[in-house]
Amino acid sequence: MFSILNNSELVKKFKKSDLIIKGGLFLLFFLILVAIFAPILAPYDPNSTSLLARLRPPLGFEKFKVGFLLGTDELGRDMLSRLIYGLRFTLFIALVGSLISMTIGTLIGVISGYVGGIIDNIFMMLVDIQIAFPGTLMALLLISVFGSSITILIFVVGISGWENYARVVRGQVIQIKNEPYVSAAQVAGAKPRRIILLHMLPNIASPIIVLYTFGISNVILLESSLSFLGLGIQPPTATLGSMTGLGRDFLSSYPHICVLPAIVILLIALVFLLLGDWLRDSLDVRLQRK
Amino acid sequence: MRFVIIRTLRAFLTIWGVITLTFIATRIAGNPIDNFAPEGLSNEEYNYLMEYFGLNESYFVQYVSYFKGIIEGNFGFSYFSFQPVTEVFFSKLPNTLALFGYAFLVSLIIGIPLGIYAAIYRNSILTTFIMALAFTGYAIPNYILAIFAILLFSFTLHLLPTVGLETPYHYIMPVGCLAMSMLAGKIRYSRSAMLDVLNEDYIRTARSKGLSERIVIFKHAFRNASMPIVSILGLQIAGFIAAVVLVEAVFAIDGIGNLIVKAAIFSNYPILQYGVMLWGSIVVLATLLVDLTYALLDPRIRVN
Repeated sequence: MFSILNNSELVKKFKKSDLIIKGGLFLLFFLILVAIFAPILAPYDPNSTSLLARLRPPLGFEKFKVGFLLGTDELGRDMLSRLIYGLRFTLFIALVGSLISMTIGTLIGVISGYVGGIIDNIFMMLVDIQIAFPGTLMALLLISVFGSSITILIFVVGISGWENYARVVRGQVIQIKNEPYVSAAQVAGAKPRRIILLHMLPNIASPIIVLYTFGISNVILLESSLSFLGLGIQPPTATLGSMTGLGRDFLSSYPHICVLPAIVILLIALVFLLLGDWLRDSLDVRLQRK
Repeated sequence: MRFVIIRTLRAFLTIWGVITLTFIATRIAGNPIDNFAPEGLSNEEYNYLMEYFGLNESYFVQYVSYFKGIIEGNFGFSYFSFQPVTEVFFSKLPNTLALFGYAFLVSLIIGIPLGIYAAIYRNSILTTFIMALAFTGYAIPNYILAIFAILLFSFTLHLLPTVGLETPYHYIMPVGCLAMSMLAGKIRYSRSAMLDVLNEDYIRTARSKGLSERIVIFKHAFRNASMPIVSILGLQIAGFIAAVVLVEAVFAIDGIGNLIVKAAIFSNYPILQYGVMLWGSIVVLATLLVDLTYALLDPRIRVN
């Protein structure tokens, strides 16, 4: 399945790609590195408050004062450190959350497509229900019932979006079920598990990877909008969404508190979209539309 | 006919599934009264509340009576105001509908012509701009767009008010932000629908007959492309609740979105249940309508 990642053709296509794509991928790489090395890079503790250094604007907007590159928030916490840690949190939730929905969706899609019959009908019924149940509403309902914690948040964003994987994977499996190499494996006596893992999954990996990339972008937006509404991880933990949401109160006089995290959300969702778009074109995947 | 019946049955089964899942989800976490009731409630008052909302019955009895209520048009009462949830919803509906209606119209009037233009003149500079606009609308979450808009139009230029919906000026920013996110889909889908049609043989035939380009585009191509475009418009409604929740939160608009968020924060389950059910039904019925229209127009689908 991962042979696709060290695909030399992909490298070739990357070298030929637009400046925007190259810039986007480098930015993505950079943001991931920042998130990984957050404890080393952050100049201050993201949650330590300082009453004397409250509401300081970013460097260059205020004369004769140094110390906070991007200023401080209403409690005197360093914006740069909070952004770095917020990015780390957001990325972590997005990567793990989309991994969950990918696993559930792929599993259901493969079983549905391979087995068919009544099981297929039941699973597709579930997909229909999930489509009628928009991610945001489901997230609001579940958070309202279970309270908000990191586990719940990951779970909530993890089960939203599985239906996309299930539908696409099911379609792909049905398409390749009658290919000669699958029949050959069946005739040779291979068990369904072996056929699915070794013969089918590697052949349908491309659309799954593309969906995963778009999924990350969706999850980032879902998580940040929940946190923005005050339903995500509770303060003082920094996430980009909650920083934007809480910073809204200071928008008229201290816009940097709200605008900086908003820009980071925008950038990170954008680079994953770019990556997804590029992967889709380069791997030549045609995703079926709703 | 068989197709219509099966498809309709499936739609109702889906709505039933949504209702049941919502019911289960709101009951597994325990008693909602414990979540919202103030501390120091006397036993008597507690029991009164339990009885009032029917929470002292077994889950099965609660489920049956909840279901019966839905069929009779009784969707329960708000845990706080004790009003019927339908009443609460309908008092907030006008704001949300106005917001959605204007945004939908604006995105329709701008989006579809731009999409058609982008399909016809694939290599023009304007097309690059249109597609960039579509990508921006798709990539920028609308609450972030709203924040930037407030910063620019209210706090820097002092042109537009920031909260509420009192005057026509109040509508400009929220409608604009909502329309922007809907615009992206409309441009992309109408462009790709037009591109599909423009490659068809009958377009080449029409051109070779010597018809003017204008007639080819509007009579032959657009009419055939309008079907997929209309179906997408129906399905676009599904994603709209998320956008509305956020836009209403940013601009402090007293509508359905804010109602649902508040219900989620304060565990006001009857409101949430009704919201989810209403939304699920709208999505399912929109999809059903699209499918049935398709089947009516295209006999091949009926056979499968």
